Amino acid sequence: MAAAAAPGLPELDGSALQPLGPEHHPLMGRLNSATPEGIAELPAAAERYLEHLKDLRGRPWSLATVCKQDGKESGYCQLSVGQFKNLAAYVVGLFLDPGRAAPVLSLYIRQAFWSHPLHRLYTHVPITPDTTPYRRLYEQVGFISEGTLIGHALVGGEERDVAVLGLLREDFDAWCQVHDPRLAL
Amino acid sequence: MMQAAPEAISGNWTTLEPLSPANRGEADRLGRIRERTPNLGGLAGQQDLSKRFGAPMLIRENRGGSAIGLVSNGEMIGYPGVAVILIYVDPEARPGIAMEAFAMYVDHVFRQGARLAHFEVLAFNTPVLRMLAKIGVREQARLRDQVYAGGRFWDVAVFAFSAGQYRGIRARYARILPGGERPPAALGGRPQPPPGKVT
Repeated sequence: MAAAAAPGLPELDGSALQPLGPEHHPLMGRLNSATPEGIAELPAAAERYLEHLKDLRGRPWSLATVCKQDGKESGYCQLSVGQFKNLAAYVVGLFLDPGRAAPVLSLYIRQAFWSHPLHRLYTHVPITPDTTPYRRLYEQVGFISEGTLIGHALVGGEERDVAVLGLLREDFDAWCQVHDPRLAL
Repeated sequence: MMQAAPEAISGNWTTLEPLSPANRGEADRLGRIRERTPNLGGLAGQQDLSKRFGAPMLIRENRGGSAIGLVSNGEMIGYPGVAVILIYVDPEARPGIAMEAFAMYVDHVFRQGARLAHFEVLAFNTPVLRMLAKIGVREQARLRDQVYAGGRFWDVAVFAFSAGQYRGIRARYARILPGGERPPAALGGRPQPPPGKVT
């Protein structure tokens, strides 16, 4: 008997995912204010935001998403794919409170693997005292440390090391079995 | 302001030539060989080719004058001053000879203002990994299953060094690096046959 296909899961418990739209522009400035330097910066000016949105819509598999927790906008995620043949995507994630974002980020990761035949997700986090919650967040949702790029980032004009974190589809399958079988694919 | 045309860089065994109409045919031929070779020597997806530290160049062997490879770089996206260096050498080229071309190009990239030289090696490229270990360049990260090449996913090993670290490596290993007293095969190519053995 064939196994049943996993259903889409745009919301679970208090977490929800919504495609990024023009109406989400005010969130960008709030996220920029809350995000430590070096993680990422979103286009805050209205015109630049609309250009960014258009660019994302032209990029396959960008999965630009607004994250919600308890009905409130709480974060932004997108994917960036270098070469499609590698089936690997870089995750950009910004959250108003990364310390509480694990449930919605795990939902987003599940959506990424559910929507696209991706084999691997990865991200970089510059290592500063302010970015510790981001490294913890990615580790909480199953990402594994793959090393440190020495001095690659410039944060506040200073060279900083960068943590490299990766998550294979099989890592996520295993993570779901342990942490939340409802997310399993 | 008009920018001066890049000049060739000459070493003992190889010369780096800027790509031009004169060597375009040779570069295209190497590009076609490269398309059939799983070892791409780097990841084009992570660099911004519109920002780079010096022009791409063709590697020419001094003895015989054959074009044997290509070197280029682009700034790593999100990391100002970090040059991702790509090198491709025809697998039929004389063993070890690529090391001189690589060393000259790294020098060139630092002279052009790069803060760090970053390069990535596919996990099956054991001769290069062995050579890097031999000269004391430490692997900084191992990207699991990052690249699909030759029919499967492969890990990618990441390396980087600053101009100062690079000078230290050159100083420690000057004897076997370009300009030293050892032949190119001493840099990690195929072993020399024992004396008297015909291969």
